[in-house]
Amino acid sequence: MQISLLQEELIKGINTVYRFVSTKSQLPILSHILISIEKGRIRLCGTNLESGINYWLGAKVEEDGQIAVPAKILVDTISSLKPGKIELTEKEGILTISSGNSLITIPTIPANDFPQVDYELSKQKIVLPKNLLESIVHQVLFTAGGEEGRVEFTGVLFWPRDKELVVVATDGVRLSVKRLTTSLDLPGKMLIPAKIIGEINKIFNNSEVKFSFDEDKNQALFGNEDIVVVSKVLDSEKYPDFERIIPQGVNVTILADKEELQNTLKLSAIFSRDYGVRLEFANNECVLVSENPQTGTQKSTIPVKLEGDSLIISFNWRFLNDFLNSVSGSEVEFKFVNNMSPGLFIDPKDKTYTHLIMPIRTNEAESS
Amino acid sequence: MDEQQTLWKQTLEVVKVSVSAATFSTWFSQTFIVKITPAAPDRQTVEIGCPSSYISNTLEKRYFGLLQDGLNQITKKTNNLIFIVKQNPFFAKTKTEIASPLFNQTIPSSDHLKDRLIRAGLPIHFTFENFAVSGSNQLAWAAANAVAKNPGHAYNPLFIWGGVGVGKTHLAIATAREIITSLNDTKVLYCTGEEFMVEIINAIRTKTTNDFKKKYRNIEVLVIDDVQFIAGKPTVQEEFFHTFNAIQKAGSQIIMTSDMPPNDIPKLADRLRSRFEAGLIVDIGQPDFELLCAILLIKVKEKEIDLPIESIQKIASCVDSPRALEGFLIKLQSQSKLLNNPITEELINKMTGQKEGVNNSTNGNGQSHQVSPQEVISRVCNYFSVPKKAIIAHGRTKTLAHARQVLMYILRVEMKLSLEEIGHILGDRDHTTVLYGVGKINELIPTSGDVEQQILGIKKQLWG
Repeated sequence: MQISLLQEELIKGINTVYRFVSTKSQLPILSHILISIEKGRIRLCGTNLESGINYWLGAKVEEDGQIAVPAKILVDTISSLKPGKIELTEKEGILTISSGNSLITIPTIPANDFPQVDYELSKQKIVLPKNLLESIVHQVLFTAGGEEGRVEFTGVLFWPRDKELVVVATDGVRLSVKRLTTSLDLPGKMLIPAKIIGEINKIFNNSEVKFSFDEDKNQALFGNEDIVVVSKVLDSEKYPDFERIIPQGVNVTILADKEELQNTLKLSAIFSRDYGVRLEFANNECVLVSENPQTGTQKSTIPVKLEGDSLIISFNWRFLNDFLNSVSGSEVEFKFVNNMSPGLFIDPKDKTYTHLIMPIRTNEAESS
Repeated sequence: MDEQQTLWKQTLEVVKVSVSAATFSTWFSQTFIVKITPAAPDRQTVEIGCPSSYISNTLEKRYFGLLQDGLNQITKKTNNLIFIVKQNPFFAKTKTEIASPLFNQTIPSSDHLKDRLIRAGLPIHFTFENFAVSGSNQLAWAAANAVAKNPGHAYNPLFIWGGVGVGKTHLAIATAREIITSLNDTKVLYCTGEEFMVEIINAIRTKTTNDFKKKYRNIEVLVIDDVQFIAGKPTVQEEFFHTFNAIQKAGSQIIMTSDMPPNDIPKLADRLRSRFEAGLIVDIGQPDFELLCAILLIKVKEKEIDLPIESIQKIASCVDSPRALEGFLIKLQSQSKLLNNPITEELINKMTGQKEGVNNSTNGNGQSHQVSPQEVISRVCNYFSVPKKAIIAHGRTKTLAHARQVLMYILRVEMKLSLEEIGHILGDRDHTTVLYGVGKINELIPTSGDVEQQILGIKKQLWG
């Protein structure tokens, strides 16, 4: 193998592929990046066996070949090199990189051990609209759960229904629902890992993305001519019935200024204990109370528009903050049934977006 | 299914020795057999499920021969392998779940009280409403009420003790029920000391002690009935001790019942005893006459029997425990149905007369003045016109035997003498003879009006 290309191009590709490389696998090959020369182009490839990426680069190819290079060393090396032309040569399993005054040799391992990462999108591919992912990432993605929770919660549910696409994520404590008026021709409910949605949004950066689903292999492919991301699809059967928990029959409605609430929340957070902040709604006012025996106490009042009974309810301030950050307008609306049921959080400017947060149960809340 | 998984496990054991540990855990550990299709007597097709296409590709490309050899060797057949992408259902189940309150909350409209009670293991018919309160159980009732209003804070643990059938279990369950009713999503669990023990043993046997711990330690109200059963079992006590501490630390309520105070429970570990004593210990005494009447009134209402208050007092005076009351009512109901008679005072009189353990002479039924056994003997002899000597002697003519049996009955049922005493008075007869005689009359009373008349007549002469 012998190729030459620009450092600026290569580092972009390697950095992107590196995000898909498994860092904690026991199997050495998975912490490698595959460099393969096909049809006059370089294909970089990385996988953690749950998802993978193929990234094509143009280069001046002198001789074909393929090798697997330790990912971390490759990333560190290439990013330390100066911009400009670099040459990669492989001979008897040793990769030689020459750039300017530097000459680097890295031992590699044979590429035929490298798992196959598919990159052929099927013929029934769907073109995802440019700004589709942006709103999802902004309003839904942050609600998905982490690795430690239930597997279903790590995914974002795409549910084509009538003429709309319902996109849902939850971590078991909060829930986001976004209703998009696009008629995507998905084969059914799809549960895609939230991490992949985030990566795709970053990688394709608002350009057009094609999507296809391989039912036999249970994997989804996203891509264009230069990059294809492959991910396993989670089992949507076990996804909880989220519509059941959206509260009906609201008793208290609150309209508040977003920025004022955000700033006050920031103050409350300093004195919160286990992230809890108590909100006391009465007489068109909201009192935010946080108390921590170690750091001190805080009490701030902001004006709100209150309809219905007065209410005392506690929330995890980080969840409130996440929601406030996802709101585009200057006002936010809260709706509550009581202090034990999930609160409904609404962006009055965007009726397609619904957010739900479960309150924290506290002694004060119980006795009131 | 199990057979397939065992086969696969054996095959993987074979593979394990030929590949590195990392290779094995990455490529093989989550695979499983989806199905086996026999093709010919010595050939079969095995479908192998892999969690992802990377794994199925790699297995097919690199480890096909290894797996096939392993399978062939074990099954003694030629195996054809097919790799498909499928999640391992056995693997998925073992993953622990973490809390997701949003979906665990109880939605009032779709979740009925009854379902919640059943889930908590609570019998549905014990409530505060049908618990009668009097002097003997007032303190216990007040304590239980306080706990129900403020679980985890009022008295923790609450230890209720008392004799058989005084209402310990009723009170404990009613408390738990009240908590469920007022605080919708409280996790309540009711079990007996014995169930707790069996569950521990099972958990140890199936190596699921972690699940067991999780189940009990996440509970907000734990009711353990007949807790004395765990005494003398070291492992059970040890586990209960830790469970107890965990629950109490989390501020959750514990309610226990026992047939004796913690101090008297033999072979109870000292640290458990001291913990039991840390809360409130209340006892429930035997119910008095008024309480029995009140209980009877509640039960009569439940069973929709129409009884005048006099009859209720009558029944309450001859029965000494609430459980026996229940039994008596059922008997009364079935008697009236069986004989197609309405429930009358007469029938009740018959039944109370018939009951073992009747307590007429002591419970203020108008028979105040003392009568000696000799007096009874002469009255009975008079009534049947038989000589006193003959009744004590061994003659067994029909009239004599009948008179003797009536005498035995009165001595036993009205005078409350022991069988041995009666036998002694009646010429050193065996106590079984007396028992037979009393039983005979007992059988005759409901069916023969004569015998009833005779006994009533004699009783009238004796006690007026």
